[in-house]
Formats: sequence, C-alpha cells, structure tokens
Amino acid sequence: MTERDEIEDLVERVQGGDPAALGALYDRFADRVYRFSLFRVGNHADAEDLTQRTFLKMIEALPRYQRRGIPFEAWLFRLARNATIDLLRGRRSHEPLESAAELRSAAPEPEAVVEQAAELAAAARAMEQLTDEQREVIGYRFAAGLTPREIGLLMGKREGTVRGLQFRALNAMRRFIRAEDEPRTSHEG
Amino acid sequence: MKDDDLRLARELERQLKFALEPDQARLQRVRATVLASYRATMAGAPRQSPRFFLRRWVVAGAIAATLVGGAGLAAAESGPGQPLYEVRLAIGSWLLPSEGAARDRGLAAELDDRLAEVRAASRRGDSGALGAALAAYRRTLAELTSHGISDPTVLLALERHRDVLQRLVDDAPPAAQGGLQQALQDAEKAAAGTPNAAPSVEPKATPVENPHGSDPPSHRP
Repeated sequence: MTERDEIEDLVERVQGGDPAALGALYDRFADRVYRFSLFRVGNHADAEDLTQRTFLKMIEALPRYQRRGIPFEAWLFRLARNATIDLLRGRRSHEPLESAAELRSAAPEPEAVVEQAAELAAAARAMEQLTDEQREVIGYRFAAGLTPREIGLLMGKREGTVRGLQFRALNAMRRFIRAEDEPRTSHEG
Repeated sequence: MKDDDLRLARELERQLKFALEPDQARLQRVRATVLASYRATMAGAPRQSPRFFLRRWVVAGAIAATLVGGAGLAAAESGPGQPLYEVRLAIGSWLLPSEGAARDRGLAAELDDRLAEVRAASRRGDSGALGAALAAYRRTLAELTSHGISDPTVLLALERHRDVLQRLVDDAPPAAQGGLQQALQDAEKAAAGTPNAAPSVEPKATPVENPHGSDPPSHRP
C-alpha cells in the first residue's frame, strides 16, 4: 500500500466514525500543520489555535471530502490556509519568521543554537523581500513539506508556476543574503 | 535546480525545521480537543461539530423569522453592537440543551463564538462591538461556571481563552484594556475551576473607548 493509499484509507475510516483513525491522521499531519501555522503567524499560541481550528474544520468538512484527484494533504492545507487568512485579516499580512527566531533564541542556549538563530534571523530578513506569493510558496514547500504539485493544487496554480515562484524566491533570497554579507566580509578582510 | 539554489533550499529547510519546532504539549492539547470533539460528533451529542451549530442557527433563524418576520433573520445575522445582537444571543440561549454536560458544552461553544467576536472587534478597532462582545462573553462565562466545570474539554478550551485574552490585553491600547482585563480575570478564574459571579456591571454592551484612539470607519451596514 502506498503512502497515498494509507492516507486515503485513514480518511475513509474517519468518515466512517473511527476515532483511532482520526488519531492516526492527526499524528501524521499535526506537526506540519503546526509548523505551517507558526511560519505564518510567528507565535506558538496562535499556531496552536490555528492547528485546532484546522482539524475541527476538517472534522466538519470531511463528510464532503472526496478524493477526485486532489490529495488529502492539499485539501487539509487549504483548510489551514483559510484559517490563517481569517486570523491574519486585519493584522499585518505576515508576522515575520523573525518572531520564531526570537522565540528560539530567547532562552540562554548553547552557542551553536544562538548562531543558528542569527542565521534564521538573516533568512527572515531575506524572506521579507519576497512577494506574498513567493513567501507562501516557501512556507508550503519548506515549512509544511508539500510538493510543488500539491502547492499548485492548493493555490490554484500550475506546478510549473509554483516551481517558477520557488526559483525566483530562492534567487531573491540568495541575492539579499549575499548583499548583506558583502560589506561585512570586505570590512573583515 | 542549480547547485546554489539547492544549497540554499537545503539550508532554508534546516533553518525552518529548527525555528518552527512544534510545542509538543500544545499539539497534545489540540489532539485531545479534536478527538473529544469528534467522539461527541459521532455520538450525536450536541455541540462539537460546527456544522451542528450551523444547522442550529438555521433553525434559530427560522424560529425567529416565524416569530417576528424578517427581523428574525436579520437577528440571526446581527453582530455585536448591532441592534438585534441581543435577540440573536437570546435565540441561541433558548436552543441550548436545558441542563447537564450537554448544556455546558453548548455554553462553551457560545463562549467560543463570543471570543471570536471579541477578537474581530478588537482587530477592527470597533469599540461598540468590542464592548458588546465582551459583555456577552462575561455573561456566558458566568453562566457556564456558575455550578463548576468538570468537563476536561471545556477546561482546556477555557485555558485557550485565557491565553487569547492575555494576548489581546498585551496588544490593546490602554483605552481598550479595562474591559479586556476584566474578561481575562474571569477566564483565569474559570480555567482554574473557580466559579465566576455574574458580572457586577450589567453587560450592557457599554462601548469600550475606541481601542485605537480615533474613530474607526464603520463596518456595519
């Protein structure tokens, strides 16, 4: 049985009223939904809230879910995306990832971790340069672990368009990080 | 993908994995709530399924429409601060189960709705709606806690409310903090299992002073 079949089997069992299957489905996706939510909102309390909303909405909508060529992951992350949009409406469109970096570096931690947080803050600054669509693709791809095809289904775009957005986003980030590094390097040198 | 891009993609993945590490305690809390909600839905218990409440509101709208014609449907859609908001809340209250755990869960669901209204009003900077939603929130909370809460799902939900209200207090300008602070104190007591007295100040939907210090544009029709 492929992974996709296993997931669809769990979905069918949840539709049939099997709590153990729901537990298994939750354990399979909760981590990624949480990461995606945290990426978008930048704080754990809202990420928890969004994860809960997404799964409660999933319970509500699951009776109407049909495979129809749309992978369950894409369907589930569409719910997560909608929950995030509802929450962020009226707030800043994107709570920077830097918040997450601060969260991780707030407690006194080993040097390596602090260094990692600094790198992350640099990545967050680079991400601020991206368009909303590019940032969304980066979130789905690297925070939620979706494939370009799934992202395309989720965003209503072709797979090639998603790859293009990812390519341009990475390019823009690389240019920004290099530009930030250069003055420091030349100063040090 | 070019080598440079591949390297950056891997680096980004590594960094995001580090930064976005889930809080396992939170994930377990959500898991308990989701499973409890699902079991209750499957058992046909009132509350838990948002769809159930959607249906309930359709029923409420129909009852109201029968009673007072078109105004009933308007009531079913009225938000805090609007003239028929209290009518809508009253209809919702009539439709709750009369006692026991089912009523508690129904009230907890109502409380979720009120909290969502508080958040929305706070975000919009709509002082009238915020005052009305906070008053309704405190009133529902007082009713829910009047005889103590033993349902762990409800207690978990109240803990979440406490966290949400704390964030709202932290973010709110001074003018909006009074009402939010009172609601927070109530939620803290409730989450700790202490009954709340009914609000001494009757929840008259007193507008909170404009949370953002200037007159916000009206979002109401």
